[in-house]
Amino acid sequence: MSRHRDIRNMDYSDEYDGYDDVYGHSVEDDYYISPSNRQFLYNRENSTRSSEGDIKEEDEVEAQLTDNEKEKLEECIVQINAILESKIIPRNDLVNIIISRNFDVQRVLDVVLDDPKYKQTAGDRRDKVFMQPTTIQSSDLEPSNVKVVASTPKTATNVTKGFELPSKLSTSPRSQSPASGRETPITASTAEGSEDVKGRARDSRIDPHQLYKKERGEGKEHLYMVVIGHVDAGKSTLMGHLLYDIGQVSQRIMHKYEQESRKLGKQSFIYAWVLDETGEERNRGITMDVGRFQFDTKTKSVTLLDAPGHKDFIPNMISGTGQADVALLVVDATRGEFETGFDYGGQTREHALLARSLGVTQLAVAINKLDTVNWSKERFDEIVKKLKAFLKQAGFKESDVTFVPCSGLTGQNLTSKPTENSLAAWYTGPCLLDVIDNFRSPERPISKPFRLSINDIFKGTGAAFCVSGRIETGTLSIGDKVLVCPNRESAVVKSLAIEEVPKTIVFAGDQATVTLSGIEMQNVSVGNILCDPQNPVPVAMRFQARIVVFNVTVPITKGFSVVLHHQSLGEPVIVSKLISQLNKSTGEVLKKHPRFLGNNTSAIVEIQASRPLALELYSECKELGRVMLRVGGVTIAAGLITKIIL
Amino acid sequence: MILLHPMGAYHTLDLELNRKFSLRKAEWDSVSLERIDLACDPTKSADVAAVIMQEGLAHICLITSSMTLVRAKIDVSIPRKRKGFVQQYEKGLAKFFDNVMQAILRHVNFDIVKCVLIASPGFVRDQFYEYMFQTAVKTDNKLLLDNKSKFMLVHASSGFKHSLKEVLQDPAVLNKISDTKASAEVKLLENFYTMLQCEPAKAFYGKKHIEKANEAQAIETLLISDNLFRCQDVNLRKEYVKMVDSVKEYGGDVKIFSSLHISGEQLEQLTGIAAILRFPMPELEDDESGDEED
Repeated sequence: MSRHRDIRNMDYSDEYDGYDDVYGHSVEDDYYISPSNRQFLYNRENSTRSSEGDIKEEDEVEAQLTDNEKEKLEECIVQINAILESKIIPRNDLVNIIISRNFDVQRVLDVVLDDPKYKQTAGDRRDKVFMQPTTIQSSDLEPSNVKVVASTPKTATNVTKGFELPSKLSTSPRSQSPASGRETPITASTAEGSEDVKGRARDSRIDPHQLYKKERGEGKEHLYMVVIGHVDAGKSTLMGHLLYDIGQVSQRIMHKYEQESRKLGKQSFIYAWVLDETGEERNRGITMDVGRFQFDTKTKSVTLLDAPGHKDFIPNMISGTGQADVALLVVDATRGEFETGFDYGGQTREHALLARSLGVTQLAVAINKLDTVNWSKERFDEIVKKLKAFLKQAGFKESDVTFVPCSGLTGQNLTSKPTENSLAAWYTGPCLLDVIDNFRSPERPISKPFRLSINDIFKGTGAAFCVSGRIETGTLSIGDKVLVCPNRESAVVKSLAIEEVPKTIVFAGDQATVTLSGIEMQNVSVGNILCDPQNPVPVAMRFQARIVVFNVTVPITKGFSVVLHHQSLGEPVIVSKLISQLNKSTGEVLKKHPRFLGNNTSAIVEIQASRPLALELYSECKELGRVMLRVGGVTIAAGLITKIIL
Repeated sequence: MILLHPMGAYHTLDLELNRKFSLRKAEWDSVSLERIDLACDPTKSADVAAVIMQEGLAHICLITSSMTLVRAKIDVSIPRKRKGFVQQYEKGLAKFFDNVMQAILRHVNFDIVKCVLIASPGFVRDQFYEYMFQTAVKTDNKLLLDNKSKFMLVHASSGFKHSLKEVLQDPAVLNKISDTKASAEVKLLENFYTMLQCEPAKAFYGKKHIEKANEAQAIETLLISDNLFRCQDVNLRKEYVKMVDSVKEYGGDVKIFSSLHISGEQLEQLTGIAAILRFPMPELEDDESGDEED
């Protein structure tokens, strides 16, 4: 019934905005139609269904194959397609040929190349089909080119229908509107037609690497860096000062902050105010939610995520770190302060462990407030030694960890070589900005199916609403259909932006703001996953995970209730079964059905949630396959999803 | 009025305060008798309301001696702070607080409730407390202003229901609500877990292990969920009653947990039965088959 409600609330002029940009795409796919009109309208969904008869045949042939043979078959098809490139042979025929030639690629190729039937069709289609993806690309990339936009739908219509249609249908880009669609023969799309559609879908999926290069190749590499550390280590101040020094914050604003903070008697917080924006955060002088800022180094464009250090806000820190590629750990060098942060229960330790468990491999350690100990080399070395041992144990490679002495308040060694003689005397390494510049951008999994984890929902301008979050895998462009899991609600992407800059396509690793239409704001919540409808994320209430237990005061038993953190989601769950205890390093089973799990153990457990969650296997998607278990404000375990029980 | 009940059937009948009635049953076991005793003792009831909250999520619970009731759950998504959009966050938060406040007014009866706990991580509780009383002053809400002293701010690690466990363990709360069954149960279960951590051979759970420990007269404290006495299988029920009786006979302590409390819920997940032993029984630990697995 909700379909009916929606149509009334729909802002038509708004909805049709991006309409001309969508090619080969029947408009009904995206819009709701009243049931009384439905019968008169052309609906692609119906038409592909009607052609299922043809597709089935191939399925029947394939269905008789064993799994092993199917795999072989897929391999052959991929190889053959790669060799023939533009020639398209109906999959159905190809399958038959492959099977009859016993999966021998060479022999299949001989047959195909010799057959005049395929030669001809391949030549014919090349122009039609393969013009299309290129035009889509170019128009996607250059939305300003109006000419291309106006002319492409013509060919698009023809090709997708697989028929030469009367020209009156394709006179204008609006020809696919519901009214004219009536004249489209519904049974028209044959196996050939749907084959073309499939081909196009696949092609546009193969392309992302090229697209990525085109779109981002010339620009600076993008890097997401989270700043972590114990409360009051000076994370916000350090970063605020850094941003001021490189000119990201204007003198005028800084002056304003200085006056305002003096009024509150918190003058030492002026730099922190750059990142702490809510009144609550400024009054209390602590960061509560992740602050963000963008700045450029020599070779990188860095998005800074300033995580809260206070113990109570670790859920926010987890969702911030989940979006980051690299981390900057800030520690306070003051005597006693470093020790509190580093002791059991301190956040230096917990944050570092969390960052590692959340997939951050490169780490810079800023040893802050070194001015309070007179830039003592001994103190620096002492801290480095302690941290090195711990970080190694936590799983960081020694070569991936850099230590930098600095002071956030005085601004020493942030953007340029130290001027303080007592520091310059013994420190010759890079300054903080150079260390950030030296981070390597990780490989972005752009060719995997699209996934985005929502970490914020807010009202945009106008009636629409926006969600923002990190694109974990795949790409997303305007006009794409997406599925919001675990509710399995579908929506359409109306616009995209990265840091307020509008984009037509975004890639894995980006922190994007997506404006959605066709879905109500109440049906989306933080922690949901946006995914590709063709390749949805699994939704389940139960799953198995391989966990590593940290230091716990009470052991984990069967029935233990914990809070599960998965990306931005925090959800109460129950450890419903302890399946086996494992050897921490070799992974071999030590004991089946252990009674409890104590400190520093590794185990496979089953976890039961009270409502469905959108999860991925770690083996398929690292980003969405990681979970954290917390109880009573302490992280007790980190886990990888090994099995999803539907 | 005589009602003959088939097994497992429910029946509702009206009772009034101070009206006598008699209850007959073919066989009274020790456990049921104790329950009735407890139910007839009005001094053991203490009514506490608790609001467990975090940004965007709140549970409003009523805690009585025998159960914890979640009266309202408020789940609102609050936009995060972002450059230049701080107002949206602040507006969202104010709306959330307003919802929670309305729910408190609706569900908490200040004539009965002696104490309202507001628990949250961070500063949400302080922010909320401030908001609530500012609004109360603005709207001249006598009910809230008169009961201001009943509110108490406590720390909790999250806004989920099971954080109630932490709240009930807070020493300040224990002082105020002293002897509610709920907090005693939480404490007991905590003891069990501590024992499991320190001396695993002295803490066991699961029916088979407990039976063996009982045979050796080793049980010092038996924790058992009252749900086990409500099971459909009469024989199984009798077994549990027998176990309770024999533990008592050997001088052990038996604590029956209410499955409607937060700790009882957890015990139920833990097979419903657990025990702390007088002496270690490592031989049980090695017993692989001992652990019930379906």
